[in-house]
Amino acid sequence: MNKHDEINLRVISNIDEDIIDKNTEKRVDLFKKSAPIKKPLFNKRWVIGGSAVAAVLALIFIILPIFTRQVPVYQGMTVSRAPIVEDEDSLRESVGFTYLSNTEKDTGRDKHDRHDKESESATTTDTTSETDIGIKDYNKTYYAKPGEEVLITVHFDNPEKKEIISFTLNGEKYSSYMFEEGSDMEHLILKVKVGEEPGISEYTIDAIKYVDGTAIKDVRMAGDKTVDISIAAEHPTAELTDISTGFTSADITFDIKDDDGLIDSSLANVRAELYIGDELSATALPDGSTFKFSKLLPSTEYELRIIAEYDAFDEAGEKEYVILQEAVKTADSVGLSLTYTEDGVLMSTSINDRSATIISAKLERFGEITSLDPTTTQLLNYGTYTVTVSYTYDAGEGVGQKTHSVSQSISVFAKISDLYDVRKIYFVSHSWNPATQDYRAHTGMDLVPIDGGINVLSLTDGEVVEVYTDDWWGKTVAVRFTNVDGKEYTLYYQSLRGIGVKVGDIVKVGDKLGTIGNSAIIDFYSADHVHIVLKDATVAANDGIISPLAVLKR
Amino acid sequence: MALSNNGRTPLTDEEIIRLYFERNESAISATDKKYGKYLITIAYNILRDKPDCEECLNDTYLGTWNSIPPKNPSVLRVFLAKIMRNISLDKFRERHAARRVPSEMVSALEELRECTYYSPSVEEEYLVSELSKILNSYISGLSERRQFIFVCRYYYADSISRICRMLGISESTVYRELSEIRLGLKELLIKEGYFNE
Repeated sequence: MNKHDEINLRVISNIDEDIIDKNTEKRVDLFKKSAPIKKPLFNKRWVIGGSAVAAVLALIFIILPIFTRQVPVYQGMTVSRAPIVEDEDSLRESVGFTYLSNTEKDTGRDKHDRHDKESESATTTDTTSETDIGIKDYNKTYYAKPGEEVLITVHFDNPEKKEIISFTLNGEKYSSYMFEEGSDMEHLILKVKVGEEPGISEYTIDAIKYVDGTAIKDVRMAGDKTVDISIAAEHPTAELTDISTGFTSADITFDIKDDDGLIDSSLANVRAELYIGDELSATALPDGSTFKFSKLLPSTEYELRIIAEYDAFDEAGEKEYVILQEAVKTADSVGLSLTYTEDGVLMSTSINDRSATIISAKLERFGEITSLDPTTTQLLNYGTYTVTVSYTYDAGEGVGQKTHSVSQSISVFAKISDLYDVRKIYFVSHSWNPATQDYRAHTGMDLVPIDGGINVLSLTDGEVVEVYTDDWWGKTVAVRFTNVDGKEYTLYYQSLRGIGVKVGDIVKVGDKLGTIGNSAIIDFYSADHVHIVLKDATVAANDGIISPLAVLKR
Repeated sequence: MALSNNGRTPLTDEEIIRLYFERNESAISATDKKYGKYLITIAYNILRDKPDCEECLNDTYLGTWNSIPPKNPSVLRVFLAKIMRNISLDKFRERHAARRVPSEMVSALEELRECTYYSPSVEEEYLVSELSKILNSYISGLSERRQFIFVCRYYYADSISRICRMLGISESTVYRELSEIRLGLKELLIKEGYFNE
């Protein structure tokens, strides 16, 4: 005997004596009254005659009714979230029944018992209502969320309302006191908590017992013993781990988060699509974990959609879902590279696109056009150029090859040492200035033309924007130019003796701007030189003055 | 003291008790004549084995002989029923450990198991004490009929058919009453925090 039974026995034995005494007395009395009474035997004739009469009576009242007695018949099970309604007609409308004929049943469930021929005449209903979770088809799969509590209603044809006392569901025994409120002898309601794992869970009923007089008997089975409940899974998601776009191509690397394993690991049911507006432009299948698109339009914004087909074990069944939606833009410029070397500036052209081919490249500087061999690295002279690169690319089926040109400005500055010797560099710490008789920083560079020359030559291509005489810095020429990064700067040539340009003049590297001098009072005690100052208009501090070596090469 | 009747009709309880007090061995035969059958049914409900039942009956008579005096039960049949039940339960425990005994007591215990509480982590004496209080409070609140049905089924392990014959009601009614009694007990235990969900 297990411990639980032992405890129960002891607890029962502890019932108040008054209660036991009172009921024992009553029990003794009733026991005696209910004991069988021994009757004297009658003579043989009476016995034989009486037996015959008894046999006839037994046939009429006992044996015949046994064959015509209505045995409760199990009809099937339904699943719902809300309790069933009270009257049978409403019930049949609200939750439907799992009457199934053999012809309607999916043979995928062959392992379950088929109901007998009696059920072939039963009707099948496939109605849905608010109380239904969802009915997929005649096989009556129901749908629930992980861990949800649902109501399973067991249906009987039981006109004599025989008491159904127990049954097993998935091997677990359920007795009458465990049935939910609203149950009656034709509809028993059970509350069941479905599992957490997504997928199809089967619930199989068996060993249904009812009370018949003094005996406990098995209910007759006519309905399907098993009902399926599909537990919905969590939808997978995708994220992009790398995007590499060219003119007409895009390589998109992705990662899929799929905890419930709904998507086939081969990614056979995954693809990516690019849309322009609502129009599908390109499709790609995964190459490992990358989608590779070609023949796209350059400089175009696309909408990327990653689409996967799977069954989330919900009412929708297997279908396609968009698991990622993001904007992707193709590149709009040719990649150019500049390398400063002892010999000059090297330029090479390249297209960051695998489906495009450069067909020509040219340089333009002050109206002069120079063709370049796009396949080689060019050594550029100093100057500001506009590079135009023309290329062809495959624009896809129905379009074929297309030609496109892209232009970009580049500036190649002279090295300071090509034109000047440096006498004094830029520094922010203070040193003694004999002209001003104080300590001050030197926020520029002092240069003298190489080889003892006197001409002040432009270090950059650009435009003369100012020509003036400053009280401190003397005669000044300011040249505005564009750096290789596209930013504008102004280089001031100061302390000049002579000025050879005017505002608006376009100057090239090496063009004469003036002559060296010491017209700056601040440089009064210095030998003739040119003082250069570089200004970056985007820098707020120090009036935008930065070291010339921030832009120019020494 | 001689029997005050002609030996055909049973003695009264007082007369039988007087025989015990007089240490007259005919007290036992008088007890057996009046209550033997009744006592056997108590044992049979629990043990379902005739030789065991007769052994328990003998032990009951011996226990009664040794108890009276000094005890002087006000209602002899109740006194005897309790002794018989306790002895039968001891025998049941002893036999049940060895093999499964298909008795009414087993069915009754199965029914009780589904609506009562047990936890190995709770101290046994404390558990028995607390559950006894709850059960007594519950039974006191039952109707007379339900109380009777509960005592017959779970104290005396009477079969459903015996109970329905005693009360003159159908078996399905007895089943239903028992279901509802057990459900009520379970709900009370849940409310008191004593139930394994």
